[in-house]
Amino acid sequence: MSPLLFFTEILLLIALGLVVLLVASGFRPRWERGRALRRLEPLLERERYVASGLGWSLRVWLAIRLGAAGLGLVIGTLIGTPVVILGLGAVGLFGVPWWLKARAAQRKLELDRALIPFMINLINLLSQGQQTLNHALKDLAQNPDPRLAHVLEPLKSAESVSDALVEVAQRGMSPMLERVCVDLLLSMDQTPEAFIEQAQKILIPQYDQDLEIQARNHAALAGGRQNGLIVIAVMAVAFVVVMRVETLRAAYASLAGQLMLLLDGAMIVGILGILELMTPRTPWVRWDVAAVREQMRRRYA
Amino acid sequence: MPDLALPLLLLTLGAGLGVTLWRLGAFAPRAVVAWNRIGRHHHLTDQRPLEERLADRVPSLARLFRQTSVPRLLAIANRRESLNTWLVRVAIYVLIVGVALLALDLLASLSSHQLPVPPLACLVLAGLFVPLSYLSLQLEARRRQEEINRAIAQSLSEMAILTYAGGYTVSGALEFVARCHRQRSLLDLLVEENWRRLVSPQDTPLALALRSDQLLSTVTIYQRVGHAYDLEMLSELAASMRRIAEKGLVPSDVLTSLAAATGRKHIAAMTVRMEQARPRMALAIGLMVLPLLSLILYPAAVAISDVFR
Repeated sequence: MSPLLFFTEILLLIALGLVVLLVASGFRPRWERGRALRRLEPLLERERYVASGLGWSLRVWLAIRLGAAGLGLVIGTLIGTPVVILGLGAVGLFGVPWWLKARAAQRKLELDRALIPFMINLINLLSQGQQTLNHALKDLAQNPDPRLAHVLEPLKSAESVSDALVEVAQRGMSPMLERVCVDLLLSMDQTPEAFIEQAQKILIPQYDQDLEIQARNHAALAGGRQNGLIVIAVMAVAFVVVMRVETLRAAYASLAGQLMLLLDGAMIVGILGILELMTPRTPWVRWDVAAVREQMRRRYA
Repeated sequence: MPDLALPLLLLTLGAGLGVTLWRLGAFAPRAVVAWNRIGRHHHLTDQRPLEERLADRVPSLARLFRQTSVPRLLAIANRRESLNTWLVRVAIYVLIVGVALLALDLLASLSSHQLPVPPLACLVLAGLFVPLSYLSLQLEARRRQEEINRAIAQSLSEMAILTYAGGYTVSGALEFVARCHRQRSLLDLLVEENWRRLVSPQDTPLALALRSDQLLSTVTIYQRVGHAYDLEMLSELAASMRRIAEKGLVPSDVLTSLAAATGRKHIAAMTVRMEQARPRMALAIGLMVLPLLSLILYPAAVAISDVFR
């Protein structure tokens, strides 16, 4: 018997012994079925976020992603080489959504910007002294700012304003909108005067600060994206120039040449990844608005 | 040259044995051993572990021990396993990776009848799993600290609303908002007394003056949790709560000013981070030279190799 094989067997036996020790010491691996789904959830949440930013449903957004990938593959097949097929497929699957995400982020920022005038209008309505918070919210939803029209839809004909606020937060999927909904839910049982004082003292300054952070986040992301676009544009121009020269193109026709192209593609993706990693951003706390509503109801129950 | 391996091995083993015997007190005079026994019995001698005694003398060492302690990192990362379980798990992973690499090496040697990589290199490579596991644990702990700090910092206004008109105390408001976050880190720390993993009522010199059955105030608990878990926001909140209690300030006012101050600090930190990121991003864009050169030079390299062929 080979000594190496013998050594390997001993190591394997030690590993098995340690597994027994681990189980005996109370370690329980968590391989539940729901775990994989839970791990997928942040990914789906991100896709939902982009879809809501563009004003589409998740299904439409995923269809567009897959459609773009399919289109890339078809165009690649028409052109011919395997690397071009794969490359265009990847461009369709990742490049098009990456480009659309900029638009989604811009729309989200616009929505967040509209929230401060919304709160000021709410205070103005309440200052007249003839309405409660519920009525004022419904009133504002009847004739909203166009940027908020879609998200405020549930408030228009709501029987329960609390339920409608939960739906508003779900529609908007913006951390700042979620925060506004939470603050409104927490303030539901206050008198209009108390709410006005609280909004002027606590809420509006806080939203101003949040908006500034959001705007800086957006600027950082836009800067990162611009850098990425520069890399992509330069590489695309270089690729076209190289492929238009017969002698240069011939070198890439072989298997080694195709592998070289794949390596270049991987390097570009790596550079884009590094740029993404280096872009500073501030994560937001996400609120479970339905949980806030339940907590408020439980408080009175 | 004579083979020095055996003498060196014997020397190392001898030194190890000597140190062990010294630590066990084999070379101590009988009177010292007897005194140690009496002192231990009557709690007159310092029985703390060596690292704690060393840390008392050298504060920087204390910080190092604290930052690198695996049980502490496990508690901060909210992992249920103990130090031993973690060690055994890492050992298993190392062994499994080692076995897999050795098996691959063996399979690769079947055709050439020679091992492509020495077995020791496979084991060294598998051994790299230990620092990787430790780094991943450290990263997880840091991520959780950031999550909890963020959860508190971004909920101060809501806590102010709850204390302003909802009749909540600051601690009640903190628990309320923790239940309403999607990330459960703050709630996991506060409920079920998870914080007791690192903080016990008698764990600091402050507690020495207290009776063992004396109840601790929420402020003291928050301060200790903030210190033990390195949670800056919890410490700041505790300091604000202490001011509220001692000076009779209005909780919502204090929380609002804390929220404003935290926001300003955050914006300043963001500005610094953005400025720092700028040269790094330029460096990343500079890396574009690599694929560009490879794209242009590959055909030239092929042509030159064809000429020489």
